[in-house]
Amino acid sequence: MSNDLPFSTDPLSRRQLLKAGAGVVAGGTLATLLGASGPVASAFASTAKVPTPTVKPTIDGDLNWLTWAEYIPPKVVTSFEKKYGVKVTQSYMTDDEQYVQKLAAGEPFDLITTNSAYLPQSVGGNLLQTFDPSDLKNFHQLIDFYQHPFYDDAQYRYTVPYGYGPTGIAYLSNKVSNVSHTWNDLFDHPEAKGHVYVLDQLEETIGAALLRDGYPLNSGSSAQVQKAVKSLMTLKPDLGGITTNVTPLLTSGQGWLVHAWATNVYEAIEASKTPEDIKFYLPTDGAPVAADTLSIGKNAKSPGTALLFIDWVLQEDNNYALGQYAAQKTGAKGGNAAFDDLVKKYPMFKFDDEKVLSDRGNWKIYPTGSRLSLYNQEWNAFEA
Amino acid sequence: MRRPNRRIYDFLLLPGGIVQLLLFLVPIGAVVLFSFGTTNIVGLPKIGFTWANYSEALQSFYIPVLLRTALFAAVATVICILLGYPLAYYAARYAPRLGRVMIAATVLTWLVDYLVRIYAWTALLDDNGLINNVISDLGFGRVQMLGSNGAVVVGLVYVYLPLMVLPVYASLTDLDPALIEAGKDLYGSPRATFWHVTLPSTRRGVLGGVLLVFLPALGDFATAQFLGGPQSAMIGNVINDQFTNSGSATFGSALTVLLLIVLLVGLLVVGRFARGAISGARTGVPA
Repeated sequence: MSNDLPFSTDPLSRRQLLKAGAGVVAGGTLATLLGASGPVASAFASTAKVPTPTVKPTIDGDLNWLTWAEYIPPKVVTSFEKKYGVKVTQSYMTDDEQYVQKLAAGEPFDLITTNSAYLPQSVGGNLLQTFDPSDLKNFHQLIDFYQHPFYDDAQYRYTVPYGYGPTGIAYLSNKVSNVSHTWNDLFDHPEAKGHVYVLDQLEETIGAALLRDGYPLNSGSSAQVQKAVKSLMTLKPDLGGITTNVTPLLTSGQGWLVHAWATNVYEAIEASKTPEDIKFYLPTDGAPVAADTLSIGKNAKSPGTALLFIDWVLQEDNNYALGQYAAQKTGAKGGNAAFDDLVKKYPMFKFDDEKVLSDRGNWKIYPTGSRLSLYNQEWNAFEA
Repeated sequence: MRRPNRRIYDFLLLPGGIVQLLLFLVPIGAVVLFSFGTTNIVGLPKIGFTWANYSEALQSFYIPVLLRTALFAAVATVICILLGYPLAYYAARYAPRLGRVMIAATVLTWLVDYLVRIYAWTALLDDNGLINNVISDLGFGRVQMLGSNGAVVVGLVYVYLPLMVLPVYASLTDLDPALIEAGKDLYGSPRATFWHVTLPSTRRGVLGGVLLVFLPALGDFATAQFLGGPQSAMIGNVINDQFTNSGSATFGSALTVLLLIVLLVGLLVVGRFARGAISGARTGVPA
């Protein structure tokens, strides 16, 4: 294995990793934490000396936004359009890789719903531009963690949080019982044969198998990754599918034991005729997390409008509406309060920010370089 | 007779030739070029020369995927012939007006977006879908259809059936009825006339249909993605993943080149067979 892996190639248990993490001072980079080198590490490390921003929050044209479908309350957009007399055009993507590819191809999106797991690529590929957080009137709305998130903690920033929630396991309680609340549940419920589903995202599914085996979520060790994929191979005969289209699986009753993002499970419960049967938990052996974030594109034609819109989203009332609409925490006071209100009905979605966010071992990093080659090869073998 | 100036023909070929060059040869050339390259941090191809993508593409675990893909495409093609030929035959020979409606109904499905049609099948085939509800109401248990290889073949047949029906229908409508009459005049039974006159005379349409169904089915990925299970991945799924999810366009390019080679070889074999079959049909000598 070449030395450009972003993470140590030595077998390192999750516990060892966390122990190592405890020795790192607050505000240190993920790269430092993981003893990393190479492109991913340097991408995070470079946040310490990010370019000085040129953008100011002021209207400089209509807004062209690349985002997920139905990911913002329409009223938040229309009220912005009305107040500032601009048009907001949303283009939709179906996975995070798409925005990386579109920006890399030079497409001039002003605003992009990015993801923390892809920040090393986005920064390393020079796809985003920085802004000064002190230019945002509502920056103080962010909860403490997101005032200085370790993945973007320099004086100038590439991101503000938009929404986040951990990955866990959903199951139908009328079909599956005796769950152990660990990732092993996916592997250990023969009664669900043909109805077990895992996410069609290599970093998620290999990550879950790594956690199950007691390895770090973002391991770069070929031995650990190969062992994890070997475990996944044993699961394959029981699988109903490999998909990110989780919501309909749960509402239709097709998926009994499903690797899922909390927000999709919430959606499924809202749409289901038998919501009481759908349960969700965060496995005790690790709850992978990443944050959807807002960023300004390198080739933005209206970066000022984009920054103004970012500030608009952080505004407490708008953020509350966002949290309520997307049914997830937003990292700002408004959205987090909305989520807390929503989950009063479903306490299973509650998670402790302190526990989930501050444990850096929980944060997903999309692989690059040799680690990507390793993950791709193993993932292809699994899917084939 | 005065022959038109050949330059006019050359000139007329120019626009189509340019379109072919820009939309077909240039992208194919780029794919071949990328297949020898590496990727940068954002997954974009970097031009270079390495066999690594090809050596990875020739890993043994891709062989079952290739074989599975060929099997799905072949089974779907055979089913398309079995369903499409009688439909086209009936439409062309016995019910010209109703037949045209039937052909139009088959082709109309193509006006609906491919993904929408496949999504519709997921709703039909899932455990609580329409088909399972009917089976269950009839007193049989529910059958897990979604996620099976059978569901993928059903999807492929549904998607590509019009591509079989149309060329067969065209060849049947071109068939001179006097040939069939001649067969009957020679005391051929309806069955014998069909096997010895009609079918050989429409082989060109059937072979056209086979090519139009089999080749795109080989490269299909959405059907297996939505209707198949973890054991149903086709080579198109693996290729699609490299470009959309894995940031590995160069490896995806190598797989694409290999698939193209397989397709071209298949095309040559079928083309050779077709020439023999058609000349056999013309001369009356079985090919």
